Amino acid sequence: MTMTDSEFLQAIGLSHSYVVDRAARPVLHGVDLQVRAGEAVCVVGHSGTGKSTLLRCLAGLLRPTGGEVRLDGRRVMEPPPDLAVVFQDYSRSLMPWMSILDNVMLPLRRGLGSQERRSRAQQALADVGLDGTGSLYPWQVSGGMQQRVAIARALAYRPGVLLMDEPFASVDAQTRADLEDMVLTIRRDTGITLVVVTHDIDEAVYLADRVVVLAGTPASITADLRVDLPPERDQLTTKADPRFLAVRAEVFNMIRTELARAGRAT
Amino acid sequence: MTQIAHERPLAAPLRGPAAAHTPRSAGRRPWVAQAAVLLGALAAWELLDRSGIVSDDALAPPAATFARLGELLVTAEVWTAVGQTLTGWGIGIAIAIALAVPLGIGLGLSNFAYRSTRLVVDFLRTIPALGLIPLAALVFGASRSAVLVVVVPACVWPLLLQTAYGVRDADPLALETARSFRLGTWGTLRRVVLPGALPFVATGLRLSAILGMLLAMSIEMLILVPGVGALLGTAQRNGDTVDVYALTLLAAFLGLAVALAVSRLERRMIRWHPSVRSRR
Repeated sequence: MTMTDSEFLQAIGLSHSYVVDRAARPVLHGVDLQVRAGEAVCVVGHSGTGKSTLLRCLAGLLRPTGGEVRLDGRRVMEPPPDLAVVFQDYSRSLMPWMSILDNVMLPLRRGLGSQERRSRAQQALADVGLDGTGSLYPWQVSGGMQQRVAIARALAYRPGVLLMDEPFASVDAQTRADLEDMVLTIRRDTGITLVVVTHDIDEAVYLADRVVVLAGTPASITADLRVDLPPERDQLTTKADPRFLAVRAEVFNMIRTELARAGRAT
Repeated sequence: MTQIAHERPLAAPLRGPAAAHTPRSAGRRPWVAQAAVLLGALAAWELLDRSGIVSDDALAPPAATFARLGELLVTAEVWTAVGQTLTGWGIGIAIAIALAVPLGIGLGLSNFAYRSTRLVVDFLRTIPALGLIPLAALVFGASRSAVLVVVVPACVWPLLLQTAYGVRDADPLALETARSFRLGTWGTLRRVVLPGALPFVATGLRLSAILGMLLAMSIEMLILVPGVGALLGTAQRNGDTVDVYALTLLAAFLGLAVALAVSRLERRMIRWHPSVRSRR
């Protein structure tokens, strides 16, 4: 192994353009991002910056038009087996014709045997606090619970890397706080590498070891800030901690300046 | 084109949280209103008959019609005919499903196939099914084959198109989920695309089943293929007005039974679908 720890998941000179009306519209340009194994990184930026595009490139769901993504030293050309994605829109990413348990078992290989698949899925449901709901259908439970199911499904897959695209943007504030804490607990227990895309600065700082700011048109990473907080976090005390507030202010200013600059430019 | 656009919303699945809040039942006790309408229709029939506006050869009184229907229903002849009609219809639908569903899946999966066959499909489906009857009679005579030759092609279209729409309607995010979990082509098809297309297929099946029953009885009637339609055709040729009315009712009940049975099957097939959930 010659590679260093910092190169577990990386984007190198990543660029992507969509074709709109036969013209290339660049969304990302020269994005460089390094994520260490076990690290939690949040990508923030205002809506439409290309956060989801970046995440889909990292997930192998979208082939970037320039640069590359590497996971554990291998170039990502398609969704890698060691990676799972949780999308914002749980109501569409869960299959309504499958029970909650079947949904969680969806990504598990047949080769595991039905006993093993079932017990893994049940374990994952227990991990997200949904013990005993396996026989219900996703549409019979609340939005927050549906997103828990989607997270359980990703965990049952036992990935080394979990990517989340605005995972809590569609749930109410209290549920959101609960889910954030749940993700922190899962991360502490599993040592999973976490990349979360969000427009919410508080959420980003609360969840992350590092916050990177994605800004500009086309977007690149304009700041990379270490969150100097202990791993144990609490919705009340952490969010009142001066170190939390300092990072929060820094990110906030950066995005505001960027927006102002963009406003002047147009 | 317009026909396609017309059929599409029939099964367009509702999505999102709003779908879960459909009110449980639109009206209070719909059967009371239904019974009232039925009684009204019978009363109108009776009045029309008594008024003498229509000759007795053209209109049978309701009481006599129902009495005759009762008599017919205890004869083996009628039940044999019902069996023959249902068998012809069932075989026709089964063949149509076997042809249309796999083809529809293929058409739905391939954008190229879907686009390149559209014109031909739109052309072929506008050929009126009844137009095939003289040809069927000529080639097959009064046989079950004649029924199938008309029923199968007519029933293929709704099933084929609905299946193709259903496959094409697969949610992009569901597909992306399948891809990120590396379900593979077959796994994605079997566990994501096809179950998602089922509401559309069910709609196609409902349309085809009802259409197939109407056509099966029509052919039986016109070229006297043994079945309920042939009994009706014979009664008409014998000028037996009461028999014609009684058998028309029988044919209507048969059609209704098929429609109800298929709706029931449809609801069972797609228990999870928003259009069915609220009725549970």
